[in-house]
Amino acid sequence: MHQNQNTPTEIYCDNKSAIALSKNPVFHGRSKHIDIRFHKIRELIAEKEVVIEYCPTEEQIADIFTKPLKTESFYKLKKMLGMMQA
Amino acid sequence: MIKCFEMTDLGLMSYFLGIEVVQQKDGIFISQKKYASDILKKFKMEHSKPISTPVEEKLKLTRESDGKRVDPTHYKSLIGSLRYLTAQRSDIVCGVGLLSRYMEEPRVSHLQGAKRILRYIKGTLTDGIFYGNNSDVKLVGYTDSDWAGDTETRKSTSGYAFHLGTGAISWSSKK
Repeated sequence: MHQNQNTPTEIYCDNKSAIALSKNPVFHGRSKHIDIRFHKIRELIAEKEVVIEYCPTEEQIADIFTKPLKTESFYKLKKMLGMMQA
Repeated sequence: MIKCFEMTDLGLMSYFLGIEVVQQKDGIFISQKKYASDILKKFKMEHSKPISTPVEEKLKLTRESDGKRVDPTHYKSLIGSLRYLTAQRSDIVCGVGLLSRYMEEPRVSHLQGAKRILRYIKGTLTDGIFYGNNSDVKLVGYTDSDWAGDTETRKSTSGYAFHLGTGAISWSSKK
């Protein structure tokens, strides 16, 4: 769209251990069975294409896509998605 | 181009594949009001009572429920219509995904779930996404997983949303 992006794209995640794993490429027995796709993320982080940030559950917009929510949190997240009435 | 090819200039885009586009000075607003009301009419839910959320919190649906079976063709067409609505209505993606797992042998409980989404749509017909045109446009992503939320298959549902500026431009909810 004729706009360049100079800073890495931020991706928010509410799982601290997933973030830790993505930053630290230490091989661990329990993380042995992780998909190849996941290593792509590590690569992108190393290339500074994306940054993974922690975000508390209340501000996790993607929550709306994974589980049925209470009315209040549903409306809060819906607003954060940019949805509004005409 | 008009000289070379036979074409007409319709001006700014306002309606495309069921999506209404309003181009204002401060940004673009997209909605699917017409398509949503068409669905309500098609499934005879236009006089239903609106409800605040698309899915009941802690809703548990199962494959082998004892309820009566419903017409799978009707159910599939309903889910399909709702699925198209998720092209822009990101708030019902999760609910539609949940219900589309029971396309094979839909029961009364599943159809009720689908009708609840229609009631929610009824209350929020005009909702849409607004993309403001301020200069601070930044791409931000959010991801989440529900940690094996499906008790039958022990599979997780993962979802993501990418925002560009004020509105979400890409999202998914996938089991």
